[in-house]
Amino acid sequence: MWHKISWRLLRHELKRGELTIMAAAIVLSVTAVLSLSLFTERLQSGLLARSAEFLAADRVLSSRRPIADDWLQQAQQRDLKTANRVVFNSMAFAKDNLALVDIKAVSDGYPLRGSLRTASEPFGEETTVINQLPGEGEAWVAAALFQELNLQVGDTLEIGQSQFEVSRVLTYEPDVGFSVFTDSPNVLINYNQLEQTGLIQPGSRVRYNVLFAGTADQLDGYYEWLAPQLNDDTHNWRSIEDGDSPLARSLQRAERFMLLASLLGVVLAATAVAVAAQRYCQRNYDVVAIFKTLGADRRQIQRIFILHLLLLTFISIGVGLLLGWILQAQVIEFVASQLGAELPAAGLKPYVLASATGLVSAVMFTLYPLLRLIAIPPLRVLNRELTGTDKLRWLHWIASAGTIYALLLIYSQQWLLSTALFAGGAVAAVLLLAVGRFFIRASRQAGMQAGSAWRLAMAGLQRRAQANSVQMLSFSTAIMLLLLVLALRNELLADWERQLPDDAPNYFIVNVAPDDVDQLEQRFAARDIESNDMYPVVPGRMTAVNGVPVRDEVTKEDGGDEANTQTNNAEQREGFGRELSLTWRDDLPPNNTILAGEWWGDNPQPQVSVEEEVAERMRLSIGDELEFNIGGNTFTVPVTSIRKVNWGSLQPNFFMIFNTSTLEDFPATFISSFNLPEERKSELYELFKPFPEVSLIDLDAIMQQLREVIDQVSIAIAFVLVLVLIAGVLVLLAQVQASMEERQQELVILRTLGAPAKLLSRSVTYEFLILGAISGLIATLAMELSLWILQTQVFEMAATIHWRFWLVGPVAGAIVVGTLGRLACARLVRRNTAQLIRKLA
Amino acid sequence: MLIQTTQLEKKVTTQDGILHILQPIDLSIEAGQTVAIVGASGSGKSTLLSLLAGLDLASDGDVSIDNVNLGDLDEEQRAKVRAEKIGFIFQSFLLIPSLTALENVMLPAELAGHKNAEQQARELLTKVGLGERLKHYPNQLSGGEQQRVAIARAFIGTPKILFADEPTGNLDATTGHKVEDLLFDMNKESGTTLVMVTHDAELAKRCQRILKMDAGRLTEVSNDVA
Repeated sequence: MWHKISWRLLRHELKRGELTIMAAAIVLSVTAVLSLSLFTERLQSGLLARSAEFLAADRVLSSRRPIADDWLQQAQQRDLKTANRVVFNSMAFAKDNLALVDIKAVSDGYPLRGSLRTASEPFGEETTVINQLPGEGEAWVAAALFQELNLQVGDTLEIGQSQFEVSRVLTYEPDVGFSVFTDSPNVLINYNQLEQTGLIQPGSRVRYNVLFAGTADQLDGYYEWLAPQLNDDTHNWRSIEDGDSPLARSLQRAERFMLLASLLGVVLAATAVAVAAQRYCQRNYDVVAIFKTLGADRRQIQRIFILHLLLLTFISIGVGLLLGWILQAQVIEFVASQLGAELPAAGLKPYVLASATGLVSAVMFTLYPLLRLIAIPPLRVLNRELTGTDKLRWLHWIASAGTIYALLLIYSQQWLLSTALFAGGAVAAVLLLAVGRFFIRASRQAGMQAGSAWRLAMAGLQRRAQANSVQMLSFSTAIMLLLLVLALRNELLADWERQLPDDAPNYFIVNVAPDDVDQLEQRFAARDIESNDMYPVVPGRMTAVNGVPVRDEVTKEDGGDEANTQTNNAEQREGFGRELSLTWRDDLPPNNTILAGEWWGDNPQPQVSVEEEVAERMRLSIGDELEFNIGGNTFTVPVTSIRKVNWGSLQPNFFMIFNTSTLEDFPATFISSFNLPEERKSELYELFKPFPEVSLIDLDAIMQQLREVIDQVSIAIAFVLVLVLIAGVLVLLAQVQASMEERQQELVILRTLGAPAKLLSRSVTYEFLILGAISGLIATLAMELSLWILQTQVFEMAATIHWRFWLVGPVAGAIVVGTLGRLACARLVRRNTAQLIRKLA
Repeated sequence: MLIQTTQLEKKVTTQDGILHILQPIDLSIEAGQTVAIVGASGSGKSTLLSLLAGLDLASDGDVSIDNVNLGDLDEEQRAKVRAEKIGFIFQSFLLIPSLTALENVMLPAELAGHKNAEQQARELLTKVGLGERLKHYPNQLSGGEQQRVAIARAFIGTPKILFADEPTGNLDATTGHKVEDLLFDMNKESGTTLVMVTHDAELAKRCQRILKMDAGRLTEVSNDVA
């Protein structure tokens, strides 16, 4: 019988709109979580697929030794696409000239993601190559090598024991990477020709790669099979998100932002549920007292209301899932049309997550109010003041806090981030409560002399100080989270913009002879081309640390791999396995910061500054003596500083920088970067004609891709922002509604006593204006603190103060909360007094 | 004896010391009697009613209904007693706003597990003159109509005792009289024991016994003195 009563109550209440706020809060939490996670998951896989071009694959397995055939077969059995790529360097000869080149031998299918572009002459018009690789006896050669070897299409290039006809100019390889200036020009040949060159001998420095492409599930499944067989020393499994390229960094930041914003959205939605749940139970106090008076026992009441709540929750979750799906589909369609690409479908996880969020928050936030509700004494029918026991209030705080923490954890699956956010939130909440109380007290003193609507508002604020400081907590939380997401988004976009300004360098020049430096700079100036400093480059090897030789057997192909290799001998460090580009400089280059030690200034003693990650990998610290070998000359130099380098800046960056007196006597070439707009590309030939030995590296294509990815991420971020905004407004609305109910009795009395509607509506508006303004101010303060922590700790950005928000916060808070309060009050004062009294009775 | 109290007391502790809301009360009410409790506001009438109905617990002394001492029962057992033996009518009607008139009347019978709750409720509502307004919600009914729904609800479980707290207190005189008539008619018909708290001397006079409450002391007055 109880289930009938429960269902009946629910049906009528839903129809009569009495459960709207509670239902809306649950619907919103589900909608927000679902659309956010569906959208971010789909967009992310879209972005990853797009970005996978930079690897020419979804995953790359690289090794110093040939990769076992059965690993490939296993991948093919799992329907993964594979291709071989073998990279090594060697000398290439043509017309009696020789040059060190990177040789890339690739098998059919390469590149699995993205495509190659070639031209029929250096700097000529490029075309995209589809399903085609150099044929037997052919080589595709980078433009830089054409200059270096004075080549022409059709010439013969000798590599090892083989001869290749140079059949095309290689203008773009998706997997060329960002570390352009340490690389030699590329020569692309067919994998089948590799053996004939005779260059692969035991002990050769060769990097073997297998490229994989497939769905995330296939790749994960394969990796699960593969992982136990991998050896950390020789193998490295990579996706685009690993590594240090500007793209990987942008993606990681975007991912962190979306996760964080979604988390804040989840917290906001949960807050809305918490506020609504409290009200849901309070509304039912009388009902329970009547039930008890009519003879209902505790168990019946428990069953009726638990079922009522669960039914409401499940219906709301259903509606939320539907809405979330529609919303996300709309946005995806919009984004897809903007990007001209299809975004892959998401799995079941977002649906489970969203439903769990709705259920967990509805149940947990209602737990204590429901306990109180069930314990309402029947005597309330005669004494409306009775609200039952409040002894278990601590349980409510624990349940609510635990729920928020659990939601953070479920959503992020990162306990560190969840704990940090949660702890920060808890501290902020306590502060907010205290500051809120203080402001209310202070505002009362200020308001005493004001006109009557103000006086009424101030008196109201003061009288409800306890309730108001809790309300202020939710107002402030909502406003703070909104400001936080907004500010973070601005910071993130501005940071990307800084990294990739329109005039970012899009060409690198290497191999500039010292005598040509001045002339080249003059030519740049004459043509009004912005260029960076010229950096001298001296090739040299690092041979020993504190007198102990380094192990030097790693090939040069991939800097990232070295981080994973381990030394067997504690004393002996893993070397670079290749020549380094060493430079000297008087002042610290832009985008570099000293982490330890000091920059040399005028000190002429030999010294070297080491990049942070190299120092960490090789366990170098200040004072270590490094031995270098440059062209047969050996010398040692102490480490005097350790630098952090922003590898995202498209400028020459170096692992090792020496002071001028240490290196200046060694023969050097110079490198630099400059910006030349696309439409002036034709000037290149003229510009570099007098410098045939200078190699030019075109970064335009890479930067274009980077920009596109950032544009996509920006759209995603805007969407996340809108959703968080909706969640925030709902919290505010739920809170205003709840507090209107508290004010109702007072308003009715004032109205009955003849207070004009205008006075009441003004006093309520003022009260909410003040509440909103104070909440906004506190929110800005809390936002500033949180942002400082996030920027410095999570996003690795420089922290700034956001003065604009100190105005925006309070003003927006006052306007939004004041307007909502006025609207809620207007509904109440529109009714006539008799209706109001009856409603109260 | 249907209702019996011995030395029934209610006191509360306040900042100024112990406040005696009810002085020790000995009271017996037989089955079928109609009893009015009159007295000024704050004299303790409603407190006595709440103790008699098992809505609240006495500080001292006993209340028994149908020879069951309510003081020996826990909240659940008292609820059971209410479900089986007691009906209520309140000044503010206390209908559940989100249930229709019919559903409000059905509620006690459903809670008690009666099978034909709806049929009984229809009959009762027809009897109180609301046969046409079964599907109306309380806020769609006038005060008099709401109280008639409450009367129907009070009688649905065929209770032995009906407690009424100022049943016409919120109604105008004409409506009040109609509701009174209905209440007494139905009470007579079902032979229920009626215990009613009221300020209204006229209404009190319609009861067989009148008890006067004054500062927590209860005295029986003859019907024509009240």
